[in-house]
Amino acid sequence: MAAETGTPTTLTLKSNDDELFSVAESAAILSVTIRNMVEDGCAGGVIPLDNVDGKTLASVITYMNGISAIPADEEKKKSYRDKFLSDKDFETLADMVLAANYLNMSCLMDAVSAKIAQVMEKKSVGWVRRKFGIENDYTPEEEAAVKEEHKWTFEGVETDDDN
Amino acid sequence: MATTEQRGGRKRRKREKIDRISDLPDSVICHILSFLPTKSSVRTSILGQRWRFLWAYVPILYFHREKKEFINGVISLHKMHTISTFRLLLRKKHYDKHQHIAWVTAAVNRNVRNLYLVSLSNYYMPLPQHLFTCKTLVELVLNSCHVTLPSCPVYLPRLEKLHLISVRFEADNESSSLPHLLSGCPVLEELEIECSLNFFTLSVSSPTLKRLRIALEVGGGDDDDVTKLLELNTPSLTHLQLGNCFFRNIKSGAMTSLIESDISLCSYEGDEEEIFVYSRLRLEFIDRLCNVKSLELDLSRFTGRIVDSVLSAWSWTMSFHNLTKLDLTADCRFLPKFLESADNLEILIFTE
Repeated sequence: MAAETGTPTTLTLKSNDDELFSVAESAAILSVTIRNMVEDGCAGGVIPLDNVDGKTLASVITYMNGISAIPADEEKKKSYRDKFLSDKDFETLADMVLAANYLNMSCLMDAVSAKIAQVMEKKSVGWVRRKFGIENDYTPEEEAAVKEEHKWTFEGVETDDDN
Repeated sequence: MATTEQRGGRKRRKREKIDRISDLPDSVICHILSFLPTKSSVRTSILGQRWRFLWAYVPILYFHREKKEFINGVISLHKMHTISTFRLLLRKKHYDKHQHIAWVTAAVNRNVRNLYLVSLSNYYMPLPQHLFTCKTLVELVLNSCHVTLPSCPVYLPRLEKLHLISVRFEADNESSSLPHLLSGCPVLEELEIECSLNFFTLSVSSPTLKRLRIALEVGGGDDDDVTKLLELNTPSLTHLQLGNCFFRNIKSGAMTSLIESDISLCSYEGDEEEIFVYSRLRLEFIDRLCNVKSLELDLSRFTGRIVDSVLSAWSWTMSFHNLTKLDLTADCRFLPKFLESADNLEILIFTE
């Protein structure tokens, strides 16, 4: 780390589809994975992030820059996160949660997980399967058995609305 | 802006990577499920084989007025030995005491860290005594619960945060229950007490406590309802909030670490001597706040006699050297007194 030189250190991150991104070290170390690399002195050249594609990495870097520019004010950080995630579709959220998990960024991980949970809540099983592309691999008998096992669970409000 | 080509690319990828959520590691799916109420989390078991038992590994249980069959089903099928958070909101008209004790016991047996119990407005939920010797508990929120402390010492070695809302203690020893409880919390940092405690004496003693909020909703008029004495022995306190405090007497030890206070003091009617004693005690208490940086003080409930009595006893030596922000609601004669005592004041909000 070159904090003494006065110029902010910049790191170069490489996505799994070979896109390169420059990001301030102070923002990038929100990722514990990257912070560990920096602390171990492995961040000199290009940091390859094998599990994150370019589109997702661009988005994560936008988040890193945005959130690290906010001073220690949890309210403001939360409203930034809400706004940042508000226009993301499910496909993007799934990419983000994987990236946040791989990069070990707990604040992003929590925010994206909560957002996905919010999408799932009170939706019918069919809607969730369609939305998430989950294949129903139960036989009708098995499905009936699972339903019977948790029959107290499948009462109540379910909607098929997209919002 | 996505071009048509990019959109096509995304669609292709979507088809290739179908069911990406099921491909997430168990830990990630459980993390997502932990943001759902337990009922919604259990429902995901029907999605597919991959999902059948995942909910049972979510370390958070959140019951929101579900039927007892549901709660019992979940507790019996849940696989985790440790529950980080157990949140229970009782269903209306469910008064099964044994059942409630059994649920809290299940949480305690699974090393619960954060426990939130919310009962009904007309029912005080009973608690098992071994809750008060739970070694893993970090946060405890009780709303409308009936607390019977064990005869053995309370021992909550990790409890940092305690909220008591409409909590009843064992009738025989109400005044001594809170000290008994707090004496077993060696790392307590935050305490909130809200309404309905009809103690004769409310005594808060904790060497580690940093944040204290007391908001009682007892009527000011009826003498029998009034908590007579508030005793604070909280040397590490940084934040103090006292709302609607109808205490006849407030005694406080030093609070030299105080940063922020929001205090609303009530008036008291009595004969000349009682008024004299009452106003001296209030003044003594205000003097205890001397190190505070930000003070919100509401003295608007003081009647004319109390105001006169407090002002005549105001000591010239009283000093609020650290005070930078004052939000005062009081008789205007208090204003110059505070301005003289606070020589570093930057922000003043005054309401008469």
